Parts: sequence; C-alpha cells; structure tokens
Amino acid sequence: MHILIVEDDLLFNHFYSMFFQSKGVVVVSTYTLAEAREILTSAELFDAIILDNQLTDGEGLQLVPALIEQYPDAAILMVSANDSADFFLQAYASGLDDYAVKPVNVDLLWVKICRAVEVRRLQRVSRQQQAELANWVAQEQQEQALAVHVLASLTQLLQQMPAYIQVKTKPRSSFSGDILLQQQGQDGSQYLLLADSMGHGLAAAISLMPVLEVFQSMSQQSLPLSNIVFELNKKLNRQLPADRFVAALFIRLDPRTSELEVWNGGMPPLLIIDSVQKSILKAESKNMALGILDEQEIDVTVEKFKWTTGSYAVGFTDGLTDTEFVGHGQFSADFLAETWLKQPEDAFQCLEQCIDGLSQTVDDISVFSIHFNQYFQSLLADMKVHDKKDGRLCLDFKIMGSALSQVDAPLKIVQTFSAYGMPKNLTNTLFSVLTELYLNALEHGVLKLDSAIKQAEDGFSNYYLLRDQGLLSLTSDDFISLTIDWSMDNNSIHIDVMDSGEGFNYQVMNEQRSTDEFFYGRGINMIYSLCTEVNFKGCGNEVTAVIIG
Amino acid sequence: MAEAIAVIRLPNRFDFSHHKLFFQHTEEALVRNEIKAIEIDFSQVQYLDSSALGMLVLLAKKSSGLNISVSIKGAQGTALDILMMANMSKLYSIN
Repeated sequence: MHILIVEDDLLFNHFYSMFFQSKGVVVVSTYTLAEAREILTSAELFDAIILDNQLTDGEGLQLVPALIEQYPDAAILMVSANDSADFFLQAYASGLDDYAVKPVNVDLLWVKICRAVEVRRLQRVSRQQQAELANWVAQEQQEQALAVHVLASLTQLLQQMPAYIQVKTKPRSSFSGDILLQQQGQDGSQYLLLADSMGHGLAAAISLMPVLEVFQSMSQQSLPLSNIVFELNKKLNRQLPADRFVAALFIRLDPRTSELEVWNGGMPPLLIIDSVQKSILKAESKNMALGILDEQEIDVTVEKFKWTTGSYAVGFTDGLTDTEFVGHGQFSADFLAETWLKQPEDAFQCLEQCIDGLSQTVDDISVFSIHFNQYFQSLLADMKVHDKKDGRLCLDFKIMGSALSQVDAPLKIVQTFSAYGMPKNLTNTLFSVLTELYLNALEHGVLKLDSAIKQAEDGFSNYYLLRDQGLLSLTSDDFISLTIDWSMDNNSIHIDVMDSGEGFNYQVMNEQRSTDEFFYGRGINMIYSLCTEVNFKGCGNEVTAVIIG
Repeated sequence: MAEAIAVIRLPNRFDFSHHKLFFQHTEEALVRNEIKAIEIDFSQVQYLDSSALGMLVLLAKKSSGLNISVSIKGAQGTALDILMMANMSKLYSIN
C-alpha cells in the first residue's frame, strides 16, 4: 500500500509515518500544501491520502479537488482538530472518504484507512465488471442481430404464405424455436411445415437450420411427404446432439384431389374443421418428433383427410395451448375447434387479438389456418391460366450398342418432360409405361431372353445373370429407338418404341397373357392398364402406345 | 416373441436393381421360425416396375407355404395405383 501524508505537525507526521511503515506501507510525507502539490505532479500513485486541514500555507480541503483528479481511485481521509458537524459535512461533500478528529488514535485511523481503501478497490472492480458486461452485451447484441438477419433471409421466401393460409406468431425472445415454412411443388401441390424445436432462443432456432434446405428442395420436386419426413428425420438424427429434437407437422395439398395429407410427429393435433357439416376431425400426433428414432424405427406413413370448400385446417404449436390468456385461461384444442365452428369467419382474427393481448409468453407461439374456400378459388384461377397451354414436346431417342446397358434411358427422358412442366401424375404414368416398354425391347427384343426362365427354381437370379451377360456382348447393330410426343393442350402422350430384335407373335399374346400363376408377363399387363391404346407393329419389334392424362 | 412380425422396408425405386437385396431380406425373415407375418413397408416407394410385382408374387407364394401372412403398408400415389392395377390385394392385405 502507498500512503501520502499531508501534515504540518512534525511530530504527528513522523508518528503516522512510523506507524504505517510498521504495517508494511510505503509512505511519502509532506508538510505543506505546496509540497503536496509538487508530489501531485510526480508519477507516484497512492492508495490513500492522510490530509490535515490546518496547514501553514492554507486549508487541506483546498487540495481535495486536485487529489481526486490526480488519484481518482485513492481513499482520502482527513484529520482535523475541528470537530464541528458542518465542517465534516462540507468535507464529505467535496469527496472525502472518511475523517478522524485529533488527537488521533492510530489503530482506529488504520482500520478506517483499510476499510476506505477496500471500498475503493471494490468500486474499481465493480466499474471494470460493469464495463466488461456492457461490452459483452453489445457484442452479444451484434451477434444476435447477425443471426436474426441470416435466419430471416434464409427463411424469407419459405415464409411467404399464399393468401389462403393465415399465420400468427409470437416468439418468446428475438429467436423463435417455431418455424412455419411453405413451398409449392413443381406439380402444383402445396407443402406446409410447422416445426417446434426443443427449447427456446438461438439454440432452438439453430436446430431448425438443417430442416430448411431439405424441406425446400424435396417439396419443390413434389416428392411424397413420407420421403421428406424420412430424409429430415435422418438428417436431424445425424446433425443434432442426442438431446435435441424437432416436433413437426407436415401438410401436403394436392390440387388434383380434395385430400389433405398429414404427418404429425410430436405436435398438437391439426384441427380439420368443416363449418358446413359442423364436424371436427383431429390429426393427432402418432409419431415421435424428428431426430429421435433411427431409420428403421420411424413410421413415415401419412394420414389423409377429405376437405370441402367449407373446411378450415388449424395447426399450432404447444405454446398456444400452454399459455394462460387473461379472462379465458388456457385454450385446449377442443375449445379452439368448437369456438372456430361457432364463428368460422372471424375465428382467426379473434385468436390473433388474444395473442396480441399477451404481455409475456412462456413459450414461442405459432398458429396457422388454411381456408379451403380460398384455396379452391386459387385453384380455379390457376386452372384458367393453365388452360391456355397449347405447346407440344416431341423427343426422338435412339440408343445403340453398349450404350443400351445404361438402362436409365426412361428416367432421363421423363426428367426432360418433367423439366418442361409435365404434371407429376402424368410423369409417373409415362415413367412406368416407358420403363416397361424399354425393358421389353431390351430384354426380349435385343437380348432375346425368355421370361419362362423366371419360373424355374432360382429363376429370378438366373434371368438377371443371363441379362447381365447379354449386356456385356452388345454389338453396334443392337438398338432401341423411342419417340415420345406430348401434346400439352389435351395432355396426351404418343409413344413409339422399336428395337433391333426379331419381334414376336403378338396376335396370340392376348390369349397367353399371364395370370397370378406366373411370375412374369406383368409388364405387358401394366402397359395395357396404363395406356388407352397399345398396338404392336411389324414383326412385333415395334409398339405404339397412347397415354391420356 | 411368439407372433413376431418382420418388416421389410423398400427403397425409393423398387425395381429389378433391388431384387438381390429384396430376396436376401425376405429369405432372412422366412427362415426364422418365430416369424408369423411379413410386412412390406412401401412408404418410401415412389416407383415400382413389373419385375418388382414379380418379386412380390414370389414372396407371397413362399410365405403362404410357410403359413406366414404378408401385408403391404404405406403404399401411395403411383406405387399404390400399380399395386391395385396388378390386383396385388388378392395376395397381400394392403393398408
């Protein structure tokens, strides 16, 4: 400890000095204001200053402002023979830490010094900690602002709902662990995902990040809900720690059916309310949240519900049903559904007002409703636009020699048509028909394999063994040519497939079309079922087929 | 496990390229004495071809010889259409 003594009495000054030195203190003694001011100009620092008031060249109090300025962290203690209360009040007001009345008891003075120095030290520590805290808060706010921005821009497009879907959200903090995403598939189907990540805040929001890309790309490709659920579960299982998971409600609306497909894993029920029939259906959670079960355990079966133009589908996170609404208590799923039935037109607005009225929430709240009347109107409007389509796409495709062994030609062709906007159901039918025709041409035409081989013991394996051998010895004379002609206005497809094989006696084929007793011949049956017209030509090495969408 | 059920999960495309795995999985189930039912999970299947139908018929034949019931679950879309078109419901209970 360093102490500056300002005391004109030689005896007192010496006495203090000796005493402090015995306590291990480094002491600087001064006797006048002038001497003390000189010390102030030096670089020396002090923890405490003992200041006498009656000095030969003035009052000690006059020095206090300069002391505070030079040593803001030092404790200043005054010793004075003046014991009037007014004097000490004035001294405290000028910034004094403590005082002692002469004659001074040095032990008491020492206690006062130690205490004052300790108070000063704590003040210093506290100031430092406050500064560090302020810095930390500022940095945290900057980082959060960045994360909010990134998350918002990542989800921006996915959160732009079509007009028939109404949404209300109220996050608990700047980050929500809830997310509602939409994506329209290339076949016109509408996908919706309401996910509730375990916990709150940034940690919960980060758990949702892996969901975004998979949901977007798979929905865009119009893949079945079950595939999307399966992939997301796999991804979350891999990317999230074992104690993190995401409850999810998936919905798919197919414009070609009046059905609503639902997969619910760990979310409150989706309410399907029919305001005309006055009925309420609930798509309850039948599965665990995503990110828990492995690929073998998860059940990705979707449920299907019929909708009418009087229907509403209402989904929400458990933040809604867990919240206490002033004057109402908690809203149960049943209460919500029954209230909705009474006033379907205003129900969402009322709910919105209730949520807006909440001063604080215990959990993130998200709720959405699909108005099927509006959805139906939007489909009608879309149909008018699509009616104008009168394009045509014709593809000629010829594969020769060893290229035939790459058997994914039908897939490549169908992908091309799909890229040109062929509806999903038509693409699926085309893929099935084309694959069967192509495999017939390849296996029976070019490779001359007999399906009867499959009947024998181990027939399947033998058949494919022979097939693989045949594919290795293809020559440049072997070919399959395909012509696929799609008229967009009536959604019809004309297919022509020809191969370099010897053909077959198709006149008698119908009589021999197989039954369940045989393990082959199904391909031709599939073609006949899927096509409105099938005709074999020439020696049987050419076939034409027509699909009407 | 007196009435054990074996679940066989199929891939996205159920066609001839899957026949080795399919037979491997079904054989494993068929040789286990406790298995009384085989469930074919179609929930991932988007597409199946005629050889897949052949594999299903073959499995149904083998299973009925061993008094094992067979069922298909989760089939949808085109895959379900093709199963129904081929009258697979005569051999399998389709959920």
